[in-house]
Amino acid sequence: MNDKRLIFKTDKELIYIALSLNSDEPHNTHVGLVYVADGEWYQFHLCWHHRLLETKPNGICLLVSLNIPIERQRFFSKYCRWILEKNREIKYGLKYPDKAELLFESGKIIDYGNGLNCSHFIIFILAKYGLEIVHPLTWPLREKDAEWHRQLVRWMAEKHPGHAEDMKADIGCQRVRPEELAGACLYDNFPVDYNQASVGAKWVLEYSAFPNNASHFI
Amino acid sequence: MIFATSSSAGPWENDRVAMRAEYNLQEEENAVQLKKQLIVTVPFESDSYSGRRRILFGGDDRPNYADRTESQAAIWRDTSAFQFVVKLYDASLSQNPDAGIDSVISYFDALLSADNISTCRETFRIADVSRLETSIALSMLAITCPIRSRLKGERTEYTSKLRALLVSTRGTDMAKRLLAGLE
Repeated sequence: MNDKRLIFKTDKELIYIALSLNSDEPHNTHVGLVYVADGEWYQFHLCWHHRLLETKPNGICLLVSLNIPIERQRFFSKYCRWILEKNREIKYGLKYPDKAELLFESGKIIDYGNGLNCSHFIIFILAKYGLEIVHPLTWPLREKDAEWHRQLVRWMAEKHPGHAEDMKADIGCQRVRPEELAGACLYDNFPVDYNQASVGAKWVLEYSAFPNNASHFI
Repeated sequence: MIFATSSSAGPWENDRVAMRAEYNLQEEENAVQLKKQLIVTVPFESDSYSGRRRILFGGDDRPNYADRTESQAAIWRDTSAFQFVVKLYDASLSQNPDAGIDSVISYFDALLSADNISTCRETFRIADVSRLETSIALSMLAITCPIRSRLKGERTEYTSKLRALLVSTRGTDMAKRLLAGLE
């Protein structure tokens, strides 16, 4: 594990892309990709149902660089914008869709079941371009994840009751938590397994000192 | 330093003045070679394509062919691929990989939206990896990852040439890291 890969957004190092971890609410961490374009930082992330966004990072934002050469990173920032252009209305879901494909002809993500969450989305788009950081289906089933799933379904039901019904079938499935994905990025060789990622996750949360005790689920 | 500003420049980029001179010469030779190839294989006359044809063939007057659908398709395929790679060479020489990568994405996006696999393959066939900046060369592989099986030998051949180049300029380990997951 390489702790030197952690940086804060105040750093002015030249980077093309990094993984970002936010925590704005208790127990709720959020992950995305951050890149620099035209001298500005942008965060590319799946926020919620039909909300794939490119926004300016705000709040406390921990960045973890990806262990890939600069030459590869350049492409990813462009790639993110391409994905955004083609897939603004991605479904939000719980279960990692192992059979999902990126249909190049249209740029659309297809066969992704009931949807992707923020970390599964990042895992998917990076894997499609040769960077398999983790394999979500090797993750354990955890009761605390099921609790979180139920909460998400309740929130979803407020505005999208039909989709919330679909999501119910996936409650309790494997979940790569945002901090685990960030923790996985601390390793030099991919893909990392659950044990490695969970160690990295603890380290990330301690290091980041997020407000509201985001390490609740660890 | 977490993000070392390691340059993507390989040894071939060290002497840009000499490289540019060599590039211009080689560019011209390649262009002439391609023109010859097109003149032989794609003879046609068409109002809509005449401007392009004049540029390509230097204004020579060739006979009109009744059935030219395939020829037209062929010349568009060949010229678009050719013009594209020249654009990438320019971006590489001017040290503007961002522009090159933008071109790669928009070019392959347009081709594949039209399911134009043959031009994708042609592009890999004619691209000279030694004249491409590393991140641009890699982006061609990255953007075509989802359709690698449809691009068959051309992409594989391109990858082999790129790997050989990277091994010689950056070393085996770095070459492996640069190409990881893209082959």
